[in-house]
Amino acid sequence: MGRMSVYKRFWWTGLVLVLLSACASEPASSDSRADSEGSRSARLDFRRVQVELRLARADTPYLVIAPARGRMEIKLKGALVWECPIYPDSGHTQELESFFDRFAGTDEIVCRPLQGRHVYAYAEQLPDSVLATVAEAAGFSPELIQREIPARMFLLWGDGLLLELIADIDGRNKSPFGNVLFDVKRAITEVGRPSHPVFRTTPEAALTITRVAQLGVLTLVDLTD
Amino acid sequence: MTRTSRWLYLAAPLIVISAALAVTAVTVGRTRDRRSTEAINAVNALPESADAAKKEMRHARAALDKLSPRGAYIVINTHANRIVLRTRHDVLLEASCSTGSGDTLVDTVTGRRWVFDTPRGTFKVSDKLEEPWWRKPDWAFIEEGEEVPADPRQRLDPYVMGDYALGFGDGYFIHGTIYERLIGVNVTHGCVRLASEDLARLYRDAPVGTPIYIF
Repeated sequence: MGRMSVYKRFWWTGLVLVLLSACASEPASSDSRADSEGSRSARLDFRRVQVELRLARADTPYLVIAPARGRMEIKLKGALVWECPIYPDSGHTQELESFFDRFAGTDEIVCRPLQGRHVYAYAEQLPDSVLATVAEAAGFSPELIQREIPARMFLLWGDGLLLELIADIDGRNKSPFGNVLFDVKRAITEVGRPSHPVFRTTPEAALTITRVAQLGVLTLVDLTD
Repeated sequence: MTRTSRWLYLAAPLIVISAALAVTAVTVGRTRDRRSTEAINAVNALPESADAAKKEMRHARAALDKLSPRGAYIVINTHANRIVLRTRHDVLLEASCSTGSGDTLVDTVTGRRWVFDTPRGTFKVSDKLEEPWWRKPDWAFIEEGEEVPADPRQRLDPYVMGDYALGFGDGYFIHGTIYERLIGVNVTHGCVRLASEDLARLYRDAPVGTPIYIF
């Protein structure tokens, strides 16, 4: 009997200790999570500044996506040369968070080269009548003066990272066959992943982004506000 | 062996080789992309100690800050044909402009070739001129099918450049135009054309030395 009570005491003490440690560890674990999130964001910011310093010393423009500021920017030699508001299409906030999480990944990546661009639909900048007049006055062939404004386009950074931009303009499909191929490829890439984020922007901004966003253009994500 | 199965025997290795080549190309491409991404992102880690981290962060921010211009600067967006005079935080002037057409002219006699692009990169306002006269280069005559004059006085044109011109090196200017209806379209030979009111404001507010960023 005496031996049983020793066992009982042992188990009760063990149970109490386990409960106590569980209670004590609950706030500590949420603190440490907050700490680790804070230090991750500090580490990412430090990385971003250092990488941007490197990009700013080069002669080519680079893209900056700053979701907290709701802006896409182009910088050259560290100077802000272009900015436009981009706002997530309604109902795409979760995709946005997932996109930036996956952009950074476990390696805490802040900058990736653009690996693809697909213009899905476009509108012509100048109507035919204006184009003819301008071409005649300027003495150029109309094709040289015409600009295609992307009405819907995708930017791709590899690893299934893609972002869709929609300009507030009516456009027509650029290449129906190419679009089908792109859709199939995109559907395969997105299997088991959250869908890509969709941003809305102005036609002029879409034109600038398409023309600057050539393959290999470096894209920096700035999560600071 | 039927004709179909013979074709299959011939086609099968080709399909396998093509698939293997495609997979190799994709793998090589992905490895190269991963390496370039790693190389860009290879930077110093944030120090463990909070004080050291703050200090490092301050230094990095200050270095980045130094690269950005302190005062006003001009930005020319050749893609959308827009010109902006701005500071870091404020836009002082924003207007439509015309930039290079990208057209090519070849002199069939001498074989000389010109590409009419606006140069991209960073520049500075090097000189400012009032009532500028255009000294027509050779291509201006060749483009019109005229003979290049031997007398330099025959190259001067007092009318086409508008009231002001801001030079940014190598014969390139931001200037006015008599073809204001073409503003906003890529029609120039490399210079940047502005409507007269916008040009007057830019001339007034951008002193010699103002940085110019063209992209």
